[in-house]
Amino acid sequence: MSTGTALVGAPLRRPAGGLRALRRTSAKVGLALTLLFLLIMLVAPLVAPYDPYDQDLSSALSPPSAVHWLGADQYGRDMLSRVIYGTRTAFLAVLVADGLALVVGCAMGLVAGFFGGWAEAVIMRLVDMLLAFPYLLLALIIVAALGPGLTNSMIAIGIVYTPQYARLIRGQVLAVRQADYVRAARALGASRLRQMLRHVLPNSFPPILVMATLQAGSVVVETAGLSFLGLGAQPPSPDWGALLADGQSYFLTAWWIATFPGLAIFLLVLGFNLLGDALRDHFDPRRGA
Amino acid sequence: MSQPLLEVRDLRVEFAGDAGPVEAVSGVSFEVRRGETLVIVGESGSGKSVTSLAVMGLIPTPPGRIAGGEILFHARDGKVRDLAKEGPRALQRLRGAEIAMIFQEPMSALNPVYTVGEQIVETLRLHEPLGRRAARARAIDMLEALGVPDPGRRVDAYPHELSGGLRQRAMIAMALSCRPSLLIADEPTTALDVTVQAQILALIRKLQGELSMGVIFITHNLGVAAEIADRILVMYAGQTVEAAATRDIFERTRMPYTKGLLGSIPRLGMDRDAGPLPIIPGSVPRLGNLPRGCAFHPRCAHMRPQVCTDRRPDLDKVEAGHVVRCARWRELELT
Repeated sequence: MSTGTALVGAPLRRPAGGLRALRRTSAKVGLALTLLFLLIMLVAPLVAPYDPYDQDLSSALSPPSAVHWLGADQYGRDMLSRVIYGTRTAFLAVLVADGLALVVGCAMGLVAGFFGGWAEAVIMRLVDMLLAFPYLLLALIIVAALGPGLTNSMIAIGIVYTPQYARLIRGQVLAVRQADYVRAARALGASRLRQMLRHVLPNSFPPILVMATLQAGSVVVETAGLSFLGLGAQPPSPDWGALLADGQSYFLTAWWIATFPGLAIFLLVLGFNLLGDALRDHFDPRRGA
Repeated sequence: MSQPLLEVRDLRVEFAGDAGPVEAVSGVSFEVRRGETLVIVGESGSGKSVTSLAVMGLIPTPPGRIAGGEILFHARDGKVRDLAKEGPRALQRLRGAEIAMIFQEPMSALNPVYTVGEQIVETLRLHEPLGRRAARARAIDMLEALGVPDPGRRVDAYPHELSGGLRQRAMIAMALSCRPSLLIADEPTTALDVTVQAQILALIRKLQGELSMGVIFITHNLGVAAEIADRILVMYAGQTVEAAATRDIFERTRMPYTKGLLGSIPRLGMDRDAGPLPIIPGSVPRLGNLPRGCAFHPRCAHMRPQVCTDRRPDLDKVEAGHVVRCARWRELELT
């Protein structure tokens, strides 16, 4: 019997050549963009030419030049440095908001899918309720309740994205818990908790990974959006959304203030999305089978 | 005679259906002794798998439930426990340690994200106070005992890296790692090709001798049953229709259904010109909609109106250890 056929139907495929789908160009671009921003975030103090908070009124609103590569804002702060430091807020938001949504959503979905009954009914109705709101509106309501600020806006976005994870993982769990190896684990004396955490959860995870990557892009946009509306990161912190809001009033006279943060948002979101698409293709059982 | 290990008496399992509860197993009794193999034979839907799940305490509840009967298991501590009434925690402690089960599909019964060794170690450590290293050593010993070549390396293999036969051996290693006294094997060889099938059957027999296990072996293949069984129980529509020692089932068949099953096995030396292989016409009736009288009568070549259609026949004793459920067994000459 060959082992080749064994791959078909396995929830987590491990093709011989590693992440095959990641070799396509769009995937490479996505990975490169994401890694580039990650690198910039890590070495921000080393590569930023100025302190992002330093005001230099003599160069206020100066256009891109050899001194200020991306120009300066209305207080003379170096835009390049502010955009570079902005990656930190962006990744922090991804980590906190996407992480929160993932952990809470997975826990909810896992409990709902595995135990069913009234637990499922309560959790899934809550999820439906949250899903009924438009994302930004729901985030606005939560921030309004919690009060503006970067932390609260991240929590709000985390809550907004939780139901999607809960739904996705519940569906996975419903399928995986019927798998023979879960029944086998049960037949050999594994407790419910052990079946759930050790056997069902890891096998439900690949689509979650894809969703986490795709959501990362949305989280960047939504965080920036809340900051743009003045509900997220507060001035003077260099958040892309706040920078965009700053630049808005000068757009006709000093286009660079709004353009470069916008470009940064665009590129990072593009990176996450291309990467997410590639991961989805990789885990898609209909491909390459 | 060796001591009894499992005594099932009048087991009834029902499932909630749209039109009230449906009995998937209605009044099945049997017994398994240490070192003995009981083969339960039946078509899909005959209730053979449900019976084995009931013994494991794995009937999905709801919709299913054990509606009656006793499942008396002689546990290692000397107590006789009624598995039909034990709580979930007590059953969980027995599963894997004293009663183990192996499944039909060795691929899907192993978790794809862990190595074979990790899965054997997990079962071991669930039931025995073993350290990681000791458990791993036991896992390697176990694989070796099952004839897995190069067990020191295979223990770190993922299921998809192994062939079907090796996977089934790994599955058996997992099930037998805690030396259970009762093994339930639900068609463990159906997914394997014939040579591997023979090896696995031989292996189960060998280990059964070494561990003096009782084995309940579920299959629809009477050829496999002949190979491994001490006793055979034939099920149809949730009931025992015939049960006897293996030789009697084959040589002194009393039930037309058993006869039909025997007749539909291809044999070496069969005359090809004699026409197609005999089949049993029709299919197993739906449990919610059993025919009146004998459940098998619509498919039976020996059916007589009224005798077979009016009341369900009782399970009659033909001789010691041979029972049959057929209204006409005294008059029929089947062999």
